[in-house]
This record gives sequence, C-alpha cells and structure tokens, in this order.
Amino acid sequence: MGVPGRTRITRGARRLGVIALAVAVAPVLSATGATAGPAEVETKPTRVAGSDLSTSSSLAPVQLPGDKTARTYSPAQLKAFERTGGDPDVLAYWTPERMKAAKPLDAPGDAVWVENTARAIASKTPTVVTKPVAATVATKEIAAPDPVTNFSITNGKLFIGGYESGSWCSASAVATSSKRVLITAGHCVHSGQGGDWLSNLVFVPKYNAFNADHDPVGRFQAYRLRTFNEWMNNSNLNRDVGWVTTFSGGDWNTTVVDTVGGHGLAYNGGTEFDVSIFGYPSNRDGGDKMWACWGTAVDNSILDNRSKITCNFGGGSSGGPWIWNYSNANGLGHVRSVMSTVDGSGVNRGPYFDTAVLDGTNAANGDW
Amino acid sequence: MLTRRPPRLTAVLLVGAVVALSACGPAAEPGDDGDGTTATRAPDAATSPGALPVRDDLVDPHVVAWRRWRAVDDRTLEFTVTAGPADCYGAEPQVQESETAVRVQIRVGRLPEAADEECPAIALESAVLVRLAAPLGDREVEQLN
Repeated sequence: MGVPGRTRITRGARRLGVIALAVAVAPVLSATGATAGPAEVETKPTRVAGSDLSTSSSLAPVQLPGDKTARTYSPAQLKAFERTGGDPDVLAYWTPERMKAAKPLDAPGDAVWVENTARAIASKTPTVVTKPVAATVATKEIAAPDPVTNFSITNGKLFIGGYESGSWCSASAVATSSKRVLITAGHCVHSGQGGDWLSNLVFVPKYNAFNADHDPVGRFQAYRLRTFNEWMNNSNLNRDVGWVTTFSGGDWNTTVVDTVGGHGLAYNGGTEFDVSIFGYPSNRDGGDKMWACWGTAVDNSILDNRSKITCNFGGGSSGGPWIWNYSNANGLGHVRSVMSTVDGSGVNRGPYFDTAVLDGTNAANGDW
Repeated sequence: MLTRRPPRLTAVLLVGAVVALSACGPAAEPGDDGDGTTATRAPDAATSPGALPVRDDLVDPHVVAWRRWRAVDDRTLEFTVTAGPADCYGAEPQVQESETAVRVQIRVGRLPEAADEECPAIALESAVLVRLAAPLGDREVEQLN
C-alpha cells in the first residue's frame, strides 16, 4: 500500500513557506471544558471556495410513513418538544424490533491497514505540520497525533430517516452558547443541487449497537438544519459543511452540549494538519460502532480548497469530525474539517474551514 | 469472508431484471427470515429509497445483509440495503429459489464508471429490485448466507 500524498506534501510545504498560516480557534462559550485558544489570525484563505459564502437554514423536516407531507408544528408543540426532546413519533418509529438487520462486515484486515497506513502517513510529515499550528500552539504539535484511545462521546451517529434507520452520517457537538449545535457534512442535511433538506434526523452520541444500550446518553432530534448555499445550489464539495440545531433531549432531557460536551472550532489554518477522525463508516463493523482514524491530513489539490487522508472510511462516515489537537484525556479538540467523500482508493477528503465556516456556526447558534 | 454457496437443488440466478420503482404494488405481509431478523414492510412511497442499478460488473462487491423486503408484484421483490449514492454504487443480487423458500443475498459495490470517482460518504437506505423465476406465492423469503 503506497503512501499517498508525498508529492502534495512537497507542494504544500512550498506554499506554506510563502504564506504565513495561523490557525484561529473559534471562541467557545461552553462550560463543558472545550479549550479555546487565542485567536491569532488573520490569513485569508488562499483559494476561493465558491462565490457565495453564506448559509441558509430550514426547520428540520419530519415525515414518517403514512404522512402525506412533511409535518408542521405549532409554536406550542415546538415549545413542548423542547421539554420532551422532539416529536415522539420520530424517536419512537425505529423500535429495537425494527433495527439492526445489518450484519458486521468482515473487516479485521482493514482495521490493521487503516491504522498502519495512517501512521505511515503521519511519520512522513512532521516538519510540515508544525507551520500552521506554530502561531498558537506549543511544540508538542510537531509529533503525529497520539493513537485514539478515547472514543469521545462528543461524537455520534446521525441517523437520517429516524432512529436506527438504514441511512446515516456522523456528527459531533460543538461548543456554542446555545449548546445545541452539531457540525456535520452539508450532504448530511441537504442533498445538494436540485435536492432538498433531509428528513427525520436524530443524533445519538457514541451510538454502539454492540452494547445492550445502543444510545448510552439518549437521542437528540434535529430542530433546524443549515448548510452553505454553495452546497445547496451547486453541490460544491469545498462547502460540504452542515449544521444541525437540536431540541433538548437525551437521558437527562437537556441540551446536547450539557450532555456530552462540545468541541472547539479551528479555522483559517493550513490544509495540512494532524488529525483524529471519528465516524460510523459502513465498511467498519457495519457502521454499528464508532471508529477512529488518525494521522496527518495533507492538501488535496491546488485546484480546490480541501484536505485529504487515506482512512478508507466508507458510507456513513460523512460529517464525522476531523479533529485537530484531540485530547484523549477529555475527549475534546478542535473541529478543523468534516468527512466529505471517499474514493475508490480509500482516500477521504474534507472541506477547508475558513471564516465562512465560523460564520455558519454562529448562524446555527442563532437558529435556536 | 463470505463465499458464494454452490447451487444445490435449485438454480442460482443472477438477476439482472430491474423494473421501475412501483409505488402501487401490493405489499406483502412481513416475513421472518429465520435468522433472528425480521423483515418488515417498507415505508410508503413518500419515503421509499431510490433503486440501485443491478449490475454484474461491480468493483470490489461485498455482501450487505438486507434489512427488509416487500413484494412489488408477484414476481418482483424489493429489498432494502444500506449502500451509498446510486450514481456511485450498484447491487448484485443472488437468488436461490426452492419450493418453500426464496433465499436472497445482495452484494454492493462500486459502479465501474465510478471506481475512481469521489462519492459522498453517506450511508443510504437503497432499494434493490429482484425478479423471481416463479411467483413468490407462500414461499418464505430468507437471507442467503
């Protein structure tokens, strides 16, 4: 198995040599312990990712079998959902009896491959990755990320079409003042050009179908969805970022960030960085439990605004956080991209996080 | 590694027949596949997933257990599997029919024309249409392992 990206590293190093890159870390207002570094910016992104930098949102559609159209809710109902965790029909539709016919795929060989490949990539790049982080972080960032030992409960499975349906993505909670915002891929909330908003989204932190209790801290139903207009109108993968604002929910009937914490956000850094990636790829244990991949993401192409890494994370991993500066100690870090695509060679790609992503996150924070 | 079981009394049919997704076909009663999984009726047409192309030239196909099935007509069954976008992935069903049972295994893989393409890494419930050699009748529908 070759080590992809070596030529890109060289090209990236050249670019980094010319452009002083600094990583800005989003101000976070959570009491849950997500760290917020100083905002040291301000290098503009070097490449244009689409002319429209704005985002749009929609009430998260709910339509269950038997419904002729998407459900609409009165303000009183929405108020009640805040207490009850959403439309009980959505959360109840997929009962344990209706779920998990899917069997795990045979992937133990792949598991070793992922880990070894990721480490091999990481070992090639330390002198490069110091640059984007040097402005704000200490020298320990020179090393490749530590192996993931804490599969953070801040990450989870984002079911589409109701709890334990056969369609899903991955997502994570981010620390904002509403404490209700998840970040994911744009195509996990809207199907893109010519498409529509997706229905019946339910977030389950640290979902694990191999345990008796599949949802260790419960479920959070989507209240509003948001993504870039560039994604909605043009399916521009440079803008494949989505946000989900959630009702109160979970086992303690409170906000998602009060339940599982929230990651910080890193933006305006380089496209090359040490990363720990979490998600629910269907080609790993059938997507029934969280997987992680870590290593160094490298620049995808001079022609676009994305990062890439070979994790071979397949369908279902979309939207999973690409976390920079991940801490196994507290299970938190800074989301610096999200899983977007997989190609036939197992290369995964994610969009570059610039100020527009921060703006979208703040807008999602205002959606509550 | 799951391997293809050699045909025994019955013929193994690689089914290439795809029919248009029908919203009006009669739904069959839920069936139990005898494996501990329960096949339930598919959602109504409004939420019915799109159909995957059925091909026999998929790249790196692998078995994906189907979640449920319904009858579109007496010889056409619609199975639901988790795959990806239909412009990237296709299905290769394998059907074993006997007098008492219809056993179906579905492999999912990349379409050859999408083998080198990027695909959104979303898991999508997808329909796979399977044409039977004889009407289903009272036969059980089971996973073919």
